[in-house]
Amino acid sequence: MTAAGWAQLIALIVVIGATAPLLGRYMANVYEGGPSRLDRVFGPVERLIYRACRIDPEREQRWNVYALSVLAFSVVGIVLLYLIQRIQSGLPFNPTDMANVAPALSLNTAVSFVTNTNWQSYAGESTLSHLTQMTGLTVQQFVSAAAGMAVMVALIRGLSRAGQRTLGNFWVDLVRTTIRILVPIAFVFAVVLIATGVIQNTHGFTTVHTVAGTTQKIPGGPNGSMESIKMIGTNGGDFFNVNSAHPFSNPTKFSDFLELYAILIIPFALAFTFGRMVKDKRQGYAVFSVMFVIWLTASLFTIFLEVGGNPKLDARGVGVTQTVTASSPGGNAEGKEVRTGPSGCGLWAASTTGTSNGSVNCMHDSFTPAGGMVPLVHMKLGEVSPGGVGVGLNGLLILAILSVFIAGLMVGRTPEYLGKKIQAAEVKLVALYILVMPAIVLIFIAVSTFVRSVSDVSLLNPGSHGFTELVYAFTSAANNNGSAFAGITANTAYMNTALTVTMLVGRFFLIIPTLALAGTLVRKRRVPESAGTFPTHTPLFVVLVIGVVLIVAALTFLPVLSLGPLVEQLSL
Amino acid sequence: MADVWVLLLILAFFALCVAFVRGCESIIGPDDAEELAPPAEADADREPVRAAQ
Repeated sequence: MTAAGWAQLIALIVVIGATAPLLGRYMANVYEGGPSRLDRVFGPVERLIYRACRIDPEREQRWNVYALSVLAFSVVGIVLLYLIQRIQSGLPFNPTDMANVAPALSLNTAVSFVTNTNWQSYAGESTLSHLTQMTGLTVQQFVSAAAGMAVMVALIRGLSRAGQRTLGNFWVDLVRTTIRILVPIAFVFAVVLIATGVIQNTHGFTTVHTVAGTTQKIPGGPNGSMESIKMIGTNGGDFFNVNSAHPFSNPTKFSDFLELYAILIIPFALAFTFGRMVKDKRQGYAVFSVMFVIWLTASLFTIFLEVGGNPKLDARGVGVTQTVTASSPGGNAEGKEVRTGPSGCGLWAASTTGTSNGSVNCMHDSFTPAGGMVPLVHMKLGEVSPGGVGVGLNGLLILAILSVFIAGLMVGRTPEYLGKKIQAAEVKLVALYILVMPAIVLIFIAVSTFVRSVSDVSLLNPGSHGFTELVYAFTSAANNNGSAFAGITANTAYMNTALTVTMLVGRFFLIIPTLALAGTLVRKRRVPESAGTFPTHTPLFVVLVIGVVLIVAALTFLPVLSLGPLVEQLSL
Repeated sequence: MADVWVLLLILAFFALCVAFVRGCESIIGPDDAEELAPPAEADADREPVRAAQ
């Protein structure tokens, strides 16, 4: 690993460590409805929205009403985004004369952006109009992230309140998250990114003559505003097909660092929000520690496996150098830009798969088999390190509840988490939550191996590498990540439909048990802490949760990994 | 025609989600009066989300 690679990693840790607690405190204040100097700015906007939408902000909802509100909001979002794509050729802001999008692809894209997945079976610059990208995709990048954070705050209220029935008001949480958190941060980031060279215009294609004597069409578009929320909201869907490997999305090393920071900052900060809202900052530190240890480990593994390169190339002496030189960052260079190198690429890959971001600055399909397996495993852990905005913390809190349940079994004592007894109903809901994602991933992988269009059209590579492409696609969709292994043609009727169903199940069949869990926890009275209470803020608990995360994923996915990246690595 | 099928598919999935909500309600069961705190205690513990003033 080069000195520049170490500098980037250390600088990222320092900046996140310095700013995450501050942002966490601010977000806790937003969700607790505390007074703020910003009320004068945001208050009138919120009141206008409440009045226009006939929302009573004082009226709280039980978990099932909260869940139905999330569902209603999402179904309207999917239908609207679907219709925009289907009629985009007749709508304004279409300087590149894009045709209407086909039904299966429109549905896949609509579901993808409403579920915060941002899986892209299309190339943005050659499929969608500017209006579709601005009013369709970018709007959903804001509100789908806000919906995830609203569900998270409902779960935290379930843990922090006692003897009550309600979890807050989904519409209020949605509006406050969007207006007070996402829009201001995304606006600032958009301005900074545009200053670094990310494009923001309404141009169509510009034809230029290249130095090689040919002509080339250079795309334009409102990219800076989308790029910003793409990262802040852990969305990942880019204006351009190659995502943040495109120079108009990620023009400099500084923009690369900023975008990486933007992916991670809210998910890490939410750990501190949690600590403040449950009135025990130590709980927030414990959650942050779990997130940080897994993220750092995955980052270092990916970086060193890519920096190490392909041993087969060295052994054969085919004249490919994988060592660091003045003009090369060394390591496995395939699918990576020289300016990014294997360390910058590995750090991004681990960060984008530990969150539900899914953006890429290099092609994961070109990783070494073991290097590519780390981002894949990182998603299979449930994206809790640090996780997507809101949903990542949800996943980690549910795994923490599972951990106290396991600890309780060991000592024969009724488990408690934050003073709430964990009983049969809670464990059933936790089990539902944990089983849904592996079930949908493994069933669709198994079915897809029998589908002729998958082997004949979709998979670029045969054998274990092709199988890994398939595993990666369904894992990414089910975890609402959105990144692809790049070697897969997903715009087929089967893949569009299968991935659509996977994304829907991966989002809503996890949100519903999460809210139900919040609904049962909020009713419970707090049990006084005693000598037999298992503390959940200690390093021992952090280790226990990390162990549970790893064991659950290993028991579920080791067989499928052994047929893909593991056998490919062993065959080198 | 394809658009109609797509819309029906979306509605069918969300109907399934509503059924899932009902299923989770049955796991949780009805409110237990003993679990819920008396009004005074509940109010003291509550931190309602207020609209900005």
